[in-house]
Amino acid sequence: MTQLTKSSLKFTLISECNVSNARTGVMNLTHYNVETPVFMPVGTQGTLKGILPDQLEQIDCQIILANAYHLGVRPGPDLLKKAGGLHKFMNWNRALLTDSGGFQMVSLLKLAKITEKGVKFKSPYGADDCMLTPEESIRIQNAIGADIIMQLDDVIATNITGSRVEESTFRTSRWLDRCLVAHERPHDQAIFPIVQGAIDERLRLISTQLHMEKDVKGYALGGLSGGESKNIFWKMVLLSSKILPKEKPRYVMGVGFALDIVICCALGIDMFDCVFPTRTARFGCALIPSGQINLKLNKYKFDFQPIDNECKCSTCKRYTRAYLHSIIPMQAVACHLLTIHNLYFQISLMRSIRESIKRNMFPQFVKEFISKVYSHRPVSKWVTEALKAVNINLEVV
Amino acid sequence: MRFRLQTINNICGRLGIINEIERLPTFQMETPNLLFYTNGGCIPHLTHDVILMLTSDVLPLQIPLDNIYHATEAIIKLDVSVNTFIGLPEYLSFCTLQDPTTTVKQGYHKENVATIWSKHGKQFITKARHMELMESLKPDMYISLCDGDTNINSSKKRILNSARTTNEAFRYCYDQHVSSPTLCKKALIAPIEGGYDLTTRELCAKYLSNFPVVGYLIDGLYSDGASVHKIPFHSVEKIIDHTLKYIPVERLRIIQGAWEPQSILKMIKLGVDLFDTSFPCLNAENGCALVFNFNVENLFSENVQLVNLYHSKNENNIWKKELNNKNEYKSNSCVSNRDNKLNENNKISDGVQFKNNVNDEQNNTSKKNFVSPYSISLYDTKYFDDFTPIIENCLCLTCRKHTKAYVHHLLITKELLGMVLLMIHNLHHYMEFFRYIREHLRRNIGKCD
Ligand SMILES: [Zn+2]
Ligand SMILES: [Zn+2]
Repeated sequence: MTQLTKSSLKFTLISECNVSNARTGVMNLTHYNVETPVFMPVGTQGTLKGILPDQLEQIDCQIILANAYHLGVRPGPDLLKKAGGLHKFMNWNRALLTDSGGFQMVSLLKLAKITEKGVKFKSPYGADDCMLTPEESIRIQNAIGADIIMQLDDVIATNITGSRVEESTFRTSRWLDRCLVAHERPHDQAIFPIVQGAIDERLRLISTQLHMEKDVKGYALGGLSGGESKNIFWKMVLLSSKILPKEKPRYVMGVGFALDIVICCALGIDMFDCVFPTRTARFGCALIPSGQINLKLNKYKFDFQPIDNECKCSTCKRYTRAYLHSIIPMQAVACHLLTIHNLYFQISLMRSIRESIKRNMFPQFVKEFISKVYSHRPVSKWVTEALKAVNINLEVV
Repeated sequence: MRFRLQTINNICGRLGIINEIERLPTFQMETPNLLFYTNGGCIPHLTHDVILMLTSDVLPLQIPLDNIYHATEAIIKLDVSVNTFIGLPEYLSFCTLQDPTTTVKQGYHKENVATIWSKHGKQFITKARHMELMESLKPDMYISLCDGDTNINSSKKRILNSARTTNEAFRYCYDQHVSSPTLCKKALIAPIEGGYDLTTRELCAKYLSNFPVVGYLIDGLYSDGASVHKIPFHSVEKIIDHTLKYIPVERLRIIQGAWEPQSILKMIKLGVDLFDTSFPCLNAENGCALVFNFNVENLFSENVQLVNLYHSKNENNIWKKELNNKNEYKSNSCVSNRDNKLNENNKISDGVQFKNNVNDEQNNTSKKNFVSPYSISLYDTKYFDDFTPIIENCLCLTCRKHTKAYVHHLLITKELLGMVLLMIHNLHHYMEFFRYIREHLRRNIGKCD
């Protein structure tokens, strides 16, 4: 009652780096106030890989991502509606973001056919052909009820060039219009458009500008987590973030390696998501400041240290590398312990980034971070160049 | 470690206290109670932070040597206790030999050794090796080496061999135990064998009662850990009753395995003090949530019924009939015989062969087919849109915060959290069952006399 004009997303910038484009802020969403830059762990099917919502709160996870395609199939939008939305269904009281399903369509389903109408695919659970239209994607996402929802975009493989890229770029914009019309809950769900255009600068620019004309609360950059070269990746990110309005959050989809996150923050990005920290945990790998260690390796058999001596997560406080080695992959507990550590690592990284921006120390933070990652090898050219583009010069100490 | 009997009562069962653990001076546990089954040193699916959401109690862990054996090399090399290695130093550890939930592969006997199956395959454990391992693991309680490879179908010859190997190993382990500065402060538990043969049970119990051990484990009652709940109580009743007659009344008595709750009550009545969490764990593993009602007035009366909260009265009667009709168990109890030549019980080898052929298929479908009158299967599609908790008044995290529809969804999508939620509820329910048993005993001690 107090806020009759309450909007689905209110973004407030708290601090901006006075050297680079990095910024920190708060996104007031329907269910939670999320601090940015933020990493969103991926809980595809309405659960985060064996971790209880209570545990996620304990490690200060503020927002998680779910997938409209998977949830649309099981348990389906009707049940989620009946449950009162995904928040209630899984008992998660903080923020949620749903992906539209376009990416899964194309990456999981080889037989997907994209037409102007939508994505046609064979259902993995039946013989019938299904059609995911922009309207249907929004209908599902409205039923799920996430704080932030994504438009359905025309996803193409990163190696595609030529007229298909152009088609995808403009079709994504046309689909955005259809999504905005179909969206039934703009008062409590913020919809983000997705910038496409593969690695074509002209098309990316057009896509960004087209989306900027729409009444939306934030922007996502799509098609940048594939196999494209890092030299191109950072340029594509900067190209959009440079012209996007300052007062709205920007989200690079599918980016989650610590190094990429730090660089993207410098380029002015606020939101990230990636399956990597949770997926690598399932393969017995733990994230550490210099990269990751594979605890299945025999060299950890007698290693009685925690994963990371500096880490304050519940796993590192109690369990050792040797013990983890002994229960991988037989015990699900091993996966839970690594998942908790990896999420804690990722969330701590984001907290450090935010703190350093607030204290006006972001460039120093970046330099320290880079020196840890590249302690045994020369810094990659793309890293130096990307940071230089936003005035952080690694050569100058 | 010390076990103190508080009441001796032949009608209801007994109340006792375990305390004075050398390593854990403040630890105290009342009996009848539970040992928490572990695999690889962890309570399946539960990390320590989640265990804390289940209970703040200091838990007694049952650590079977076979499922932690792969880690013993590291434990020895690092020179740490098993508790330290598994990251649960504040919990009590009881080192046993065989995982109570799995199937003991039968027919691998060698004179004076126990055969266990670890992650790395078959291991022969001699009594000397066993004591070396205990010296390194430093569990708070442990059993001496035993050959518990007997079940209701075992031949007399097999039973006698198992008893001889176990008693001889005990003699050796006992001597080592009292002379070891490390182990003499730990609790040695004597395993009593004898299969389903009263005479051998009596002989073993009498022999072992001569040694001043803290307690006894009645072993050798089954081979197939996954189907213990199908063993009718009447087939073990005489064995347990007879065995207990010959061991000192003031000492701790332990039985392992996933016995159905109704049998647990009867074993408590016979005077057994400690059990384990195999039953709730196996139920969770099969997608089942425990929903039996233990909140009944006359818990230890002859015809007490732990009814399933989800069944109508009629259905509960049907279950009762099935429970009484469990004689088919006899012919199925040796499902896992791998080597017929070595199997001394040739009568059933045809059945064994058949069972083996369909075993894999069974494993694939068993999750959905596991039925127990004490639980509901959350794979059942009828829970698809059931937004109520597993048990309305249950205070566990699962029931307070999640619905059956959500657990069903997690099982159907093979998400790991499904098992976590089921384990939390099942362990909570089972712990409450035992809490209720103890309260009931306390209340009724006078009446029973
Ligand atoms: Zn950690
Ligand atoms: Zn419960």
